[in-house]
Amino acid sequence: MAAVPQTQTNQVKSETHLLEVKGLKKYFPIQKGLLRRTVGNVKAVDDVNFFVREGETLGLVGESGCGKSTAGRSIIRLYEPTAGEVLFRSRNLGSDGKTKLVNLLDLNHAEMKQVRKEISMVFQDPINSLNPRMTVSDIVAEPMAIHGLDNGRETEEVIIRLLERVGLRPDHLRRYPHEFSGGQRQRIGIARALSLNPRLVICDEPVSALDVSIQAQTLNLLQDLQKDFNLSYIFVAHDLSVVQHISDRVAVMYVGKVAEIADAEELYSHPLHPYTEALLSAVPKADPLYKSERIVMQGDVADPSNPPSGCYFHPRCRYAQDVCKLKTPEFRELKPDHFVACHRAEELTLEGI
Amino acid sequence: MSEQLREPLIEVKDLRVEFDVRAGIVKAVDGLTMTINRGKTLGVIGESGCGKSVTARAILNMIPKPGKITQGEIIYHRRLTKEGQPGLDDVFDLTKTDPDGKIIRSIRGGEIGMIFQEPMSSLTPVYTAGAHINEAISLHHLTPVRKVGDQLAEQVMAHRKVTKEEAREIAINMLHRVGIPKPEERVDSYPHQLSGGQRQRVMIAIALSCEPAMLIADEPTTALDVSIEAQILDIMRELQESSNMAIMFITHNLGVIASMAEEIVVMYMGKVVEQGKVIEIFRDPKHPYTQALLKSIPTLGKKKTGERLASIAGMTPDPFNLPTGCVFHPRCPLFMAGRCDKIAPTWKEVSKDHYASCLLYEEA
Repeated sequence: MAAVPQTQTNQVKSETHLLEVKGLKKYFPIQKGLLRRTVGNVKAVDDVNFFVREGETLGLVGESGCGKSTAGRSIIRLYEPTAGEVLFRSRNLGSDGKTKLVNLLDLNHAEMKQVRKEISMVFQDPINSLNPRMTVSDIVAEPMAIHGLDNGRETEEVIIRLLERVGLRPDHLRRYPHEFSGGQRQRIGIARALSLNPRLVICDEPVSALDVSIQAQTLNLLQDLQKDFNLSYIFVAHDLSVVQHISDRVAVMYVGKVAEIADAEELYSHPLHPYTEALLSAVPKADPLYKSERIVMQGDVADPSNPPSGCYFHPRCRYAQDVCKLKTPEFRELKPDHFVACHRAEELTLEGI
Repeated sequence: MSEQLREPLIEVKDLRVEFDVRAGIVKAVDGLTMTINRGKTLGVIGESGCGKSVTARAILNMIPKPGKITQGEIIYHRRLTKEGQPGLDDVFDLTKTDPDGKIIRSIRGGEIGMIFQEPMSSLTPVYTAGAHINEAISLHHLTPVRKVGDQLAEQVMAHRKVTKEEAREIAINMLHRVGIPKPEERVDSYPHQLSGGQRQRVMIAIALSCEPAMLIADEPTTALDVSIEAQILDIMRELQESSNMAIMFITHNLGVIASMAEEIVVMYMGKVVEQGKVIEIFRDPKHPYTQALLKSIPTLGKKKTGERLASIAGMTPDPFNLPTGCVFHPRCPLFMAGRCDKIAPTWKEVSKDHYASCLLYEEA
């Protein structure tokens, strides 16, 4: 692959891109005073670029408040992005069985509704994301009802097949969410997300509220479903080992920006960004004999409403130089498929795992 | 490190805690025995609902209603330090103390500190960080007062409560020790003005402000990011070394426990299923539950092969309707029909200082 010239590889690759996010920004205004004047912005997502290939899993990791969930939600316009492009290869908007590349941010309400059949979401908290007054069958059927695909008998069969697929029993149909355990509730959420046969599922911390053994079951389920339905996932999580396990490629975010994107194995073994290195070194290893050389990051995560100058990571970076304080680093492809935003990425040799 | 240095601080013997609810009796903790030694860290792991947190609360004699300690004892080796001399151990059973009495109240927070899982809901939103720490200090922290006898130059030591100014001084000092930047300013911040990691550090500062002999940390880093988690674990290790504090570390994060604990207790449905040195448990787990638990976590840095995680089949059983024989048998991959579902396993030493309760290690 490395022998192929850069431009050509890019062309070949973009054919298989299901989703491409370009310069995505989401600013939340800070309003003050009687007239609610905007006095500043919380730059939750600030110029984010990444793509998702057909059938792959892209992991989004970072510390809390780095904008990874906001990025996920901005893609399907649960939050209206401030700027940028979200290019999606839509099947429903294309004609003659062909896909059409559309910018989701340009679509009107009716078109967006069509796309929402193709992109669905699994939420973090299985307790709050299920309506306590609806039965399991109503919850799973709701997306179909909204899109006018509910036709009684047949739907029920579809739901039963879905529930069995995610490991629930048909007699669970008439039960309410409170009758289930956390892991089972998350399965209901997954069944709901799959009810419209999506092609892309945005999983927002789907396993972080679950116990280790249930977490393993849920991760296995997600992997099996991906194979069976050729799904693509955007997997937002803060647990680096979970993300490594499930992702083909991983994007590391820091204060609204993507610091680094690479193939999962490459990123974990040869990180190019000092933030990735520090984050990896901080993960406690499940091995009592492992003595890690932990890199201590000074201070707290930068404030997204008042980020530092230059590279946002420079106040906590142990490799920071003057240039890091002055200039924002460019997000560039340093090795094939390995993107990084760091001034010193070329010269530094960083430790992976 | 060596055997001789093991000094028990808390000995839990055959503890049983029951919750009498409308649907029946739940045995949250059933026949639990363990020892926490001075200056050592004991890790307690297990899935939610296995009785980890109830055990911690039992030690402080604050089981919420309708729970009750119905059996067993918790022996506390109390050391009252008199100025200058090592105090004598005063040994008594914590379960026999009056839960509202003076003794247990001076132990809670004073001699045994506790860090809870959720830093947002365990701090009062209407008090500042400093006020929280001051409260702990003024309740428990006693300062020796020197009175110099005029004639015989005899020193009489008395204890009095700290003054407001002193408490504030100590609070700032504590915030500084747990690594909060600008502690003089932060002492006047309200919980909502602090980030999650800072709030948890305030919790730790409260727990440690009275220099407890033991710290119960109930999932102290579960809600935090890895970078903050690493900082907090460092602080706990440092403070343990400087003050010879015992830590009971409750978690379900096996990575954290591997780096913190010397000894591990694995709990399942209110029972200890395995206990041993941390290395033994990770390298050579004996109980099928421990083996399954260790296999079910994705390991960082392992070559990716697209393999599935080994998960434990099924779910934790209904506490009202526990399985017969070994409670783990319906989920156990090494289930032996006719034995595991009939005979309850006993506590066996499988190798030196390594215990498990499983029929695999018992004679037929």
